[in-house]
Amino acid sequence: MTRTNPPRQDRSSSSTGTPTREEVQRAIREGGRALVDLAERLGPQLKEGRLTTSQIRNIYGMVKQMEIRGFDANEFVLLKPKLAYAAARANVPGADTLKEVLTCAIDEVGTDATKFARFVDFFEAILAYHQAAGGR
Amino acid sequence: MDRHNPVILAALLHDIGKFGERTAEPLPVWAEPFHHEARYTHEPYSAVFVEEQLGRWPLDMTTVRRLVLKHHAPSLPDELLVSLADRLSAYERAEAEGDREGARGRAETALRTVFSRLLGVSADGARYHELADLSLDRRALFPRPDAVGSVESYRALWERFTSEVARVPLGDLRTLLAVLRRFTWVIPSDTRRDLIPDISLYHHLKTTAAIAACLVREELGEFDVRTLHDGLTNRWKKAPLTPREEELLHRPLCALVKGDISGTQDFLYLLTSRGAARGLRGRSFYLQLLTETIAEWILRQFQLHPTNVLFVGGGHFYLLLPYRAAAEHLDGIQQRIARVLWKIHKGDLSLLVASVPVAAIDFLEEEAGGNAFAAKWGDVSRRVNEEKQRKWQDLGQEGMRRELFISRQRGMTAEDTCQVCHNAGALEIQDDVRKCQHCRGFEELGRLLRDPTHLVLFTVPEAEPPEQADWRDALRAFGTEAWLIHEGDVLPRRPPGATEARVYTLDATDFLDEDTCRRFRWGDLPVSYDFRWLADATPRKHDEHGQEVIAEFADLAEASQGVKWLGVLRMDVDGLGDVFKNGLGAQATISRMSTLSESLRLFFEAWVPRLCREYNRFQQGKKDALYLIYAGGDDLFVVGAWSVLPELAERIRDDFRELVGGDHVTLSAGIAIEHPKFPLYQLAANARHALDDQAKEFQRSNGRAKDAVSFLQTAMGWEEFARIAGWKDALLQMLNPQGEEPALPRAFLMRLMEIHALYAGNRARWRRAQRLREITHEQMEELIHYDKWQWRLVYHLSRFAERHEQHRETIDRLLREIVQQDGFIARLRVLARWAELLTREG
Ligand SMILES: [Zn+2]
Ligand SMILES: [Zn+2]
Repeated sequence: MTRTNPPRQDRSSSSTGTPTREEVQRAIREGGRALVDLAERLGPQLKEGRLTTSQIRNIYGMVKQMEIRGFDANEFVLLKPKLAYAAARANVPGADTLKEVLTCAIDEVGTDATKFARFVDFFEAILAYHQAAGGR
Repeated sequence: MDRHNPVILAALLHDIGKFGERTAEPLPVWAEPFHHEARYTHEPYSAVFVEEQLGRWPLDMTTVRRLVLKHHAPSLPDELLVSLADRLSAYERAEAEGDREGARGRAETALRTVFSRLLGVSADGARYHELADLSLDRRALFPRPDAVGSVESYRALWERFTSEVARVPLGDLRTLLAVLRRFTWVIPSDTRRDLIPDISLYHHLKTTAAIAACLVREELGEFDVRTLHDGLTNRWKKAPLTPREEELLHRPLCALVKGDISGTQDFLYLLTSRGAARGLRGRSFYLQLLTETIAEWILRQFQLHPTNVLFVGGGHFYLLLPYRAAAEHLDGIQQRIARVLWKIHKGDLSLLVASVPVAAIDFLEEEAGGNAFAAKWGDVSRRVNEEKQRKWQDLGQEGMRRELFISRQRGMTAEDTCQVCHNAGALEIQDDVRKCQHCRGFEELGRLLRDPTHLVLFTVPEAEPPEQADWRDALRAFGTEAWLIHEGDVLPRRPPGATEARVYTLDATDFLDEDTCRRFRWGDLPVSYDFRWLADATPRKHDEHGQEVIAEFADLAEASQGVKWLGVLRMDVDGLGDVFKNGLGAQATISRMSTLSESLRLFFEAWVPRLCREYNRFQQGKKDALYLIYAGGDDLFVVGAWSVLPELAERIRDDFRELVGGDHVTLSAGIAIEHPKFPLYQLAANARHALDDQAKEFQRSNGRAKDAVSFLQTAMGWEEFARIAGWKDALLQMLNPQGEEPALPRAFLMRLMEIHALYAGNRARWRRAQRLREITHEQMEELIHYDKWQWRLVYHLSRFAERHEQHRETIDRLLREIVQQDGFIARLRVLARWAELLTREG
């Protein structure tokens, strides 16, 4: 059996600029297309914002650790100050964008383990598209 | 009861004037009065042909001349018979309605290939044949959208045709038929403006003669023949019929007989690997020869010409026999065939025969109020299959009896059986392998099939096969002695009791040249000349003594690129039964059926072997890669170096598509590959599974099914396959770049496979969810597509692109296509695995 992809809109016509809170919430709630499309949009933006891979690696490492240990909402929410600190240190526009998007995503996860799994995916996807956009 | 009845020869030549007329040469003065006796313009040309070309034939040629001249205006009983046969072969509305223009000689009308008149072909799908004699030339074999005929091309062809006819042994209808086949196969029979010119003159003439030969035997009274004529005309005009007309239209005139060899799969592939390759080609050729020999033998029982073979190939044949004689003798004939084959093959091979009656009404197009001949074609196949079911039950018991009473009683042990086929027999050690007389014979036949130029078949008295019979004995039991002749060979002696010889030129159509006619003679023995395809592509190698021998399977595997594996490719036409039954629709007359089946046969028997031979470059000091075990009818079976099979399959498919002019008749393929120690039988079964259970079950998202290939356990439409094949080439370029460029590491392929596995796991998960109705179909599609595999792919490929700057462009393009093109990700494993096998050492 062959299958058809769902029709893909032309990327350029989808919304650009910093993602809205609703878009981030959708990505975490629904995953799938909302997630992939948003991450794909964010990747180049972060790169344009001069964010480097090493600047976000630390945070990503922590998230993976949490995933391995098992989701703990109390621990997870502590990511927010760490993100804020990292963004301040990096001092590039991209870091701020990432901080805002992920903070919003953390709020959306709350105590929901399924949403946490999507958050991990979302973060991983952002890294991938950032890398693909030429980010180092 | 005479096969030399002038009615049959006249039927064969009645429309030959259509060919002559299109040269635009005027009739000779002496023939001008012929116009008064004819209805259209072509009959006088037919009469002139008979007079000028065949005047010396030892037959009543005055009668033949009269018959061809009067075939559209018959009055005497024999004239009515020829005319009736003509109408049953192809009867058109215009004639029924009494049009006067008739099939005027319009030289510019080219033959439209019958494939492009099948149901489902758009108007721009029409393809026409160049006016040329039959040959293996691409230009001659493949129709084009723009081919047209011309007076000049008709003149040139006519010139060559008549000079060949002059060489036909006097009175020899078989040779004449072969000349007609060569020169009239793409001449349109009818060029009326309102008709699709899709019936070849050759097939019209041949089937008319076949029907005439049956009518002659039926001994219809003059009144009945007239009544039949009236009935046919009234049917076309939809006028009321008299009860007698109605009755006669439904009276059986012919029997359509189908013979089908069963057991061929096991016979070919259920062999041990010890020397199997050497005997395989011989076995396959024997099956072909046996089928033809039995078909010919049956014709001889009815004193019929080869005109009455409607089709032979692919282990089966269709014959048109006179109804009453068939009803009387067919049972006895079948019993003899069964007895002989049992004696020789002990149930491993058998031939099933079934027949259905054919009445006048069955020949007519549906538009003419008939049943269309295709229905009969389908009926008789069904009958044979029923016969097969019954036979299997009988054979089951028979086989058990054999097992219990023969082998056990004799206390047979492994030492008593052949190491190639496991049967008992006259065993002898050859090349350290114990072989029975069958296997030794097939190996010998395989050797004889190396570059023969001619096949000579003598008609000899039927000889009871001995206890330990080989292939020669089998053919002799049906009155044929076969010889393969090579360049420089001394001719075989005339066998005792031989009554005729048939000399076939192999793989060339120039069969009646002076050399052949002079060389192949045996005193006063009547000789016929013909041509045929050998359907051969056999791999060779030098053995340790420097002798040229048939290469073993392991040698083929060695010829592979990358991993040294063996593969089997099987292909056949999709839904052939439907093509025959429904494709021609209401117009499925016997002439069209004949044209259609012969076109298919030509492609498989002549063109496919030619393509295969291109991969065997032993002569150029390279390794041969392919062993064409079988190609004929509508299917093929090739063993070979695994790496060339996908390309071969694609080429065969592309050419087939060109032949039929579109996607209304399609082919599917199954490819199985394994290491060379894998048993051939299993490999053959795997390829069959790939073809029958995967490719044939393939369905596109738009619902279109089949027209597919299964390779590496994955069925794909050909269009997808072409894309994967293109990317395979691109990957190879990066993995093995030309010159100084650094290569992309093979780890790239492992990544692709991991990503595909990720995709496949996710797909399985969401499919399950959809089956449990947790999500809708649309949600499933989206969740399968937008998942982890996508960003992982993006991540890894862009990393590779970064590290291998010189390949960046290609990798980026691959990435885009996988993400954006329908279904590409689902085939990613095939792509990666294919490239992996091609780049694996040893
Ligand atoms: Zn005619
Ligand atoms: Zn005719």
